[in-house]
Amino acid sequence: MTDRPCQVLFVDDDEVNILTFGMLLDERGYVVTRASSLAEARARLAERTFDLAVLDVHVGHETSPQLVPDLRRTNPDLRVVFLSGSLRHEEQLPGADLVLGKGEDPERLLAEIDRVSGRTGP
Amino acid sequence: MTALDPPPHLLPALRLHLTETVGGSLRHALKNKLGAIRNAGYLLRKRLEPLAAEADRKRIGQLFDVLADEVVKADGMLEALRMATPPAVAHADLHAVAAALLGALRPPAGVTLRGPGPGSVLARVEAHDLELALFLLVENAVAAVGARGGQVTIDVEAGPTVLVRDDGPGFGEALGRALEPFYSGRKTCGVGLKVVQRIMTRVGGELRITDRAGGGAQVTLALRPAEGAP
Repeated sequence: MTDRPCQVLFVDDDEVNILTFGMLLDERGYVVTRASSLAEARARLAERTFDLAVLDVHVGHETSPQLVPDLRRTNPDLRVVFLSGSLRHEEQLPGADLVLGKGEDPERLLAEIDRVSGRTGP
Repeated sequence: MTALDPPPHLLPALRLHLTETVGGSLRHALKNKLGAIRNAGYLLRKRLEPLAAEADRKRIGQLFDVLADEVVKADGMLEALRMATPPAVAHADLHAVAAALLGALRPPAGVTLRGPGPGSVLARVEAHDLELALFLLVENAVAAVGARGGQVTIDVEAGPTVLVRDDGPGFGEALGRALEPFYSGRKTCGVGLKVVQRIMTRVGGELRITDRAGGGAQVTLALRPAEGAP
């Protein structure tokens, strides 16, 4: 673990989620780059290297697991967290380090994301 | 109105998946909203409490507790509506499933259905779920080909991947909305592709929809290999 702020790519097609969940991550100390489509996410990937990706499972007419090979090509150590309104925690998605349910306790969501990203907390 | 009658043996699975998909779409949309409310409340509380006078701080905390508790209760109600569907662990032979489906279908005059050649590719999916997904895709393709007639093809690749192609007009401008629940370019309820997407998500696969360069549509079901399959 280094002192460098953790660079997060956050992908969600819901502008309210982009605002609220993005703000949760900002206030936790993550440096958040937002994208509302997989095409926009790929464009952001070309611009910088990320340490962590937080992905809504369904983005427009696409599903975000499709993005995982592109993410890992840019950084093989990148951690991937999926946010889902319909999957349970125990259900798995290809390439996932963690699957979190939307609507859960924000403190718990952030603690889980901290754990996966290697941070020790706020 | 459907372009192709479902084979009778697929009707129970079709009813189950339609119910799950409609319920699941509504549940998903509502859970999204509840999550946003809960996160916004959390952020607002963090901002407001330090600014409030001591006398107000307790009341502010109580109100935000009510907000969070009610969101949790509503979320729990939605979760209780989730139907118990065990994760798919079975393996299916993609060639065999495609052949079984095509053998049970009666396409309208002028429409040719063509299946994969001989072969055997195994994937991690329940055979009846895959057959239902393929039926829904073939039905869409037959409707797209329409009265002028044409060809609908199911191909299997080693990926393991199944491709359904037609030589109709393609998705065109509807491509971006084709996976929205209740969106349809014809007189149907618009959940067929959503059912397919749901089946694919459950087995860790992916649904991809595109227009073909030479015309027509192509739908790809990218499945996971049947690890440890006999």
